[in-house]
Amino acid sequence: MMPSPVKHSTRHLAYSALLLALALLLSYVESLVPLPLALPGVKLGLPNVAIMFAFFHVGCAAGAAVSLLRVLMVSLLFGSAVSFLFSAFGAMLAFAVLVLLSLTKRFGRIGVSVACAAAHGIGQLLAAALLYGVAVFSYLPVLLFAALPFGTLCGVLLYACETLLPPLRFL
Amino acid sequence: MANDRARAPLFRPLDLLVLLVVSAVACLLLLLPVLAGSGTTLAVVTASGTVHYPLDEDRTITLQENGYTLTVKVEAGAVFVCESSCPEQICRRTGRIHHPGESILCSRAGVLLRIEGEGMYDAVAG
Repeated sequence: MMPSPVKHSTRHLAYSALLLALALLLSYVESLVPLPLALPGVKLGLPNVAIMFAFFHVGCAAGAAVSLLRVLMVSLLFGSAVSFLFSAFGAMLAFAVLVLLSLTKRFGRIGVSVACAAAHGIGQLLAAALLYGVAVFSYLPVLLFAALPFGTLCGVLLYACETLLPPLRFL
Repeated sequence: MANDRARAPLFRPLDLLVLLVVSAVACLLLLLPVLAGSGTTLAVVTASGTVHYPLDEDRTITLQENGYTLTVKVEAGAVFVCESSCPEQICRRTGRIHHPGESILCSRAGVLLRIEGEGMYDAVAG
């Protein structure tokens, strides 16, 4: 559970890059999935599967890099400055929660994933509050309720990846 | 080395706590405006000035202005004129108002009933 310390092997770099590409792709894939309720800011959070996988299996630094670079790239490709700000706050808070919960070693994949999803929503609203004032937090219940099923889904997907895929090999 | 796969179970008992905390906070935030009272007031504007009444207590207000008598009721967060001695009865037929910004006007008596306060959410898309 404990992420490995920072490593600089070529394989770490390769795995990090691979997972970043995967996170980027998943960002696009989730934009294709129609949700029954089109609520702004509510997404499946599929990239979080790649981010959590990078964090747990390549290392803490790899997870952070995948998370932040994904936000940067998605915003450059599809988004705007405002969407970058929202996503960056969400990603940073979610990653902080990921690190904290994994340090306790007491949470399963679902718990970590749901907490990250909730933190991502809170982070987004923090950024929104900077721009539009604290009234935006009236929208928080929507994001938190969405975090329950979507966070669970991502936790299950992460667990499935860990169980079904062969382990990553490092030299 | 990360070679020893970091394996965690799908679900641990503490995960339930995460689910409960997230849903509890969400429910609490939804209920907060209801519990705290909406902070909206009824403003009764007459020639003699403006009087504010909170909307979360039921009450009956009798106004005598310009020779007309109006009975205004505050009931379950809504405001309506239940009796007026004026011939048109426009104020009475305006019905119930409850959202900030809505108003009832009786021009003969020179009375304006207006609901004031915030509580109108401006959704921001992100």
